[in-house]
Amino acid sequence: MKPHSIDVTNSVISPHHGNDTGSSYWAFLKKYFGKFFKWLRKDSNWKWVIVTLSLSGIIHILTVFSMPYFAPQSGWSRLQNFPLHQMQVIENALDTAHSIPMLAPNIKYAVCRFDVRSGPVSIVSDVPSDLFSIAAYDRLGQNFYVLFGSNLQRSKLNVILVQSSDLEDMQALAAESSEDVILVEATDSQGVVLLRAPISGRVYVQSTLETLQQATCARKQK
Amino acid sequence: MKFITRVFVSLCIACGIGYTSAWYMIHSGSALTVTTLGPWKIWPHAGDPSGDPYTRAHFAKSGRLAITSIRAYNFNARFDSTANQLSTECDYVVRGPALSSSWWNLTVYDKDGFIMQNKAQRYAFHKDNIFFKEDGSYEIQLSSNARSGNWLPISGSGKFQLVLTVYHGQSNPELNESNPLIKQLPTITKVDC
Repeated sequence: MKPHSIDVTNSVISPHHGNDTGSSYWAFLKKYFGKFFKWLRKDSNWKWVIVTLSLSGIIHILTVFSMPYFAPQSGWSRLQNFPLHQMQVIENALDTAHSIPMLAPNIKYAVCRFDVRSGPVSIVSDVPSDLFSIAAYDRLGQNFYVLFGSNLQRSKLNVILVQSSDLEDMQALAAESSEDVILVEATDSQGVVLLRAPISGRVYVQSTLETLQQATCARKQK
Repeated sequence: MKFITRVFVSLCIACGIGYTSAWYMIHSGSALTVTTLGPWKIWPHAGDPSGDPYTRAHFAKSGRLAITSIRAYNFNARFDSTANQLSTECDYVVRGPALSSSWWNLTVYDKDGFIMQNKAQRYAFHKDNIFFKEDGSYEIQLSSNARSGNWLPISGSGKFQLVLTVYHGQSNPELNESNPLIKQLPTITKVDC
């Protein structure tokens, strides 16, 4: 027997066993895949049907789970040209520069891309109506936080997005502060904040746009 | 040789079935992930971080930034009430009773989800700018030619879609039979082609 070879015929081989991990893995694969291919070589069509269907299932699952990570046109990707930590007002939903689909023409929007790895991000805005909302999305477009004006019960919105490691520090700071601050733990280090302000009539367009233009999104010192 | 051929064919078929079924489930959804109410479809777990993987993939792929259904519903229609594809070459009427919601908005989009440009600069109707009938119901004409009343122009050629966004306030109502909204969703009737 060669010094590093392993007898696969009568030994129990675990992938986590032995000093030479590479050889153990190879022996493990050789043993079980060898048996599998031997079984498959025997002429029988139903085996191939089962194998093909099982492979289809694996490919199906891999495609579904990997899609959010490789989607070239996710919300985050579409806003790549927008600066970080700066509130940008989308005055006209018809303007395709933002390339976010399904924006409503009767709603005015402000967008801010954030990255909480370098510190908490503060979003401050007036609340023009009960229908006004703030929504925070992770890179995959999951809406991990939403708040409507009707729930807020005040005219000023002050939200701080933090990563989980900064949460305790920020809670202590918020407790000492006299401001009504809403701390939100970001589920992802990067994402998008979207302010939505539905317009009930043309007379409200200008004032709503002014409100959104005054909204801020800035990195906050820890 | 026969074995290698079989492996190759099996892999090709598996890739075809696996990818096609995944694409279909992500793009169009199924009864597991999408609720169909007449011509309207809704992904009930839209935007929900704890939602199913198909819904997550659907919204990541589309690039939409949807509000979670806890606060608002986004109903989407690509077909009329007789299950025919909505086409800019036809005229349609959208009819329904008043919706019990704090605010709603009905917008026409092209097949890719972008607002249809039109000379009349009419793109949507919402609760506060639509003309209601005396009985509280409404009727919206979708046509490439000007119409009286609530008219939304449809332009270009090919398919289009409608999106009805309904803000339902503070509660978190389920989309089941007890929800009055189910019976209030408008119908989409083809008038002429």
